[in-house]
Amino acid sequence: MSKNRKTNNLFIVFLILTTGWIWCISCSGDTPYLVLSPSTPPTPYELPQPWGFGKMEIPEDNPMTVQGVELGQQLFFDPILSADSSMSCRSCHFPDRGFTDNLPVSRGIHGTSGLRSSMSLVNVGYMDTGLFWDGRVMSLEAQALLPVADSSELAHQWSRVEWNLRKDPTYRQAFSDAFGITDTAALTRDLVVKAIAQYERSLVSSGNSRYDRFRAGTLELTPDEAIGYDLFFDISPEVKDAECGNCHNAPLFTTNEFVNNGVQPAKTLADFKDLGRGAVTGNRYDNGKFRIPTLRNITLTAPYMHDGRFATLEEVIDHYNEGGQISPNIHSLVRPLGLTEKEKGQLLAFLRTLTDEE
Amino acid sequence: MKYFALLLLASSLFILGCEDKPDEQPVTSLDLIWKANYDGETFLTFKDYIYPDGRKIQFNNFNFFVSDIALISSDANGARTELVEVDFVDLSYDETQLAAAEEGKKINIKDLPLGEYSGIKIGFGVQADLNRSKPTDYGSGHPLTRNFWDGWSSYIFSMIEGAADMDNDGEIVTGGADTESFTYHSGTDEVYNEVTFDQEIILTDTNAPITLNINVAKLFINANVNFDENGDGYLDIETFRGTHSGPNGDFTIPTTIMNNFSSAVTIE
Repeated sequence: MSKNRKTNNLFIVFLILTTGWIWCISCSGDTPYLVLSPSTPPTPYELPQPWGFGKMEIPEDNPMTVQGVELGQQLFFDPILSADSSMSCRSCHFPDRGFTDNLPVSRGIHGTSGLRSSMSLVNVGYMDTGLFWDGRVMSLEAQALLPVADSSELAHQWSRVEWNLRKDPTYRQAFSDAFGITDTAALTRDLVVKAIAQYERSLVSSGNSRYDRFRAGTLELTPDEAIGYDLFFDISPEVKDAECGNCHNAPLFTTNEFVNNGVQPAKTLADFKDLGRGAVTGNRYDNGKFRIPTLRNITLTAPYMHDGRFATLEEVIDHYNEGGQISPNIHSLVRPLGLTEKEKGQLLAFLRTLTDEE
Repeated sequence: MKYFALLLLASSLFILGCEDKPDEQPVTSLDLIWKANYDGETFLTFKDYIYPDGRKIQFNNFNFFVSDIALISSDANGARTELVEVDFVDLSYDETQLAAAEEGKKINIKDLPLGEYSGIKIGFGVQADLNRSKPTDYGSGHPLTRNFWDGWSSYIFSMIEGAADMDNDGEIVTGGADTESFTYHSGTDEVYNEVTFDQEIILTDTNAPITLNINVAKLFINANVNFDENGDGYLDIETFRGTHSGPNGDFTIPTTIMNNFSSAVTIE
């Protein structure tokens, strides 16, 4: 009997010590180093390649996997990335709005307004000249680091994000499955942004827009759309040249270059309200330049331009038809086009063919 | 018998091991350097120059493709040594990039045989086989990932963009209803221009560069009276402010500009 009591006492002491140890490590702010085991090796992700698209370049240190893309999608839509758990990446990039937020400039968790409009993420994996309107980061992984810690966006601390994710058994398993990590200390921001980047690379055009089906030879454009196509790409001399295709070339409908498209009036190179690319390169001749956005799904992504100044595509077409605002380094092709109301309507009809139907 | 076979093998190895290695041909590398000037002045974007008709002119973009660059051997058969299949030459340097403009765009070619050459052949534009491809056929960093015009199914062989004092009021207006910009884009197979420059080139192991200087002003020389209303021998940029060649378009100006590379380029 006394032997049993002694055993019981020892067991109680053991329980107290164990509980105390677990309590200590859980309150210390350090990570519980729990051993994980991936359920299966990650499965390579087959990226769709619509007709006419090139092969997307995937970083060697972040190959796409089914598990990685799924995890990235989960993170993209999860407000766990914001300080007050009220916003996620999706809050500025709604899938049904062409992955934009339809606001002139995006808002952060405290209602603070950012400086620029949110950019579409469709085909963002093909953007190889830099991301954001000013191209200040070169990779999706590096890009995804910034909004989380930006006080005007998700306003969180990465160390807290890491801690919250490590606490969550579902995320622990998902990271283990996607990246093969075997202890939670390896669940870092680097893997978080890798997963998000994988998901973002999967956001490729469906290839079933009216334009895509026309190019694939399975659909005929309406007469107005066809003339709009000609206006856009300057195909026949009988139709005016609206000069669109120079910057918005197919199949991505952007060349990913940085240009001044004449939306900001500037008497000198120092007079731009938003320096754009110039603030990144430090070259004043880049002031007022912004990345050329894709026109795919353009009907879903109003308002337009880096500051959302144009509410409609009609306003955008009027802007170009009038030759833009005077500024020293405006692109030479931004000049009065002489389009009639009918031609503007035909151009708009063509722009509407660029919307994915899935 | 076994020892004999071993002896034979050892002897063979000895003889093969002592055999003189075939002479390796000495090779060198070569820098092709592209530079631009405007009638002798270093060419810079957004800088005022004077067009032959007296008006102020400035440029904001000047680039072009070159294809099938080869050295022509001095010997009787005139054999070609291929240097470059295709490259993109962008000489749009602004005043903050003066040092880069003076240094020029350099293409380094390695493992060239030493020897004497009588000239260099350069294709201005994208040669026909490659012009059937598209930017999406290439990975990033390849010269042909840019400047493709979908409407022509062709690369834009050369781009010359800028603005000039079209109304001769002393100011150049850029943007708005009264913009004075010009844009000359040349492309499609019809305007590809292959030129052989006669020039003695001796490749030694000292890696002397070949500098190709382009006088941008000479690209506007125009023998076609239809596009030279003031008769000064240069393209009338006030009247003809732009061109897109296009499969059904008028090729006169693009052909003229691409042909003018022959006389605009000098070799040092």
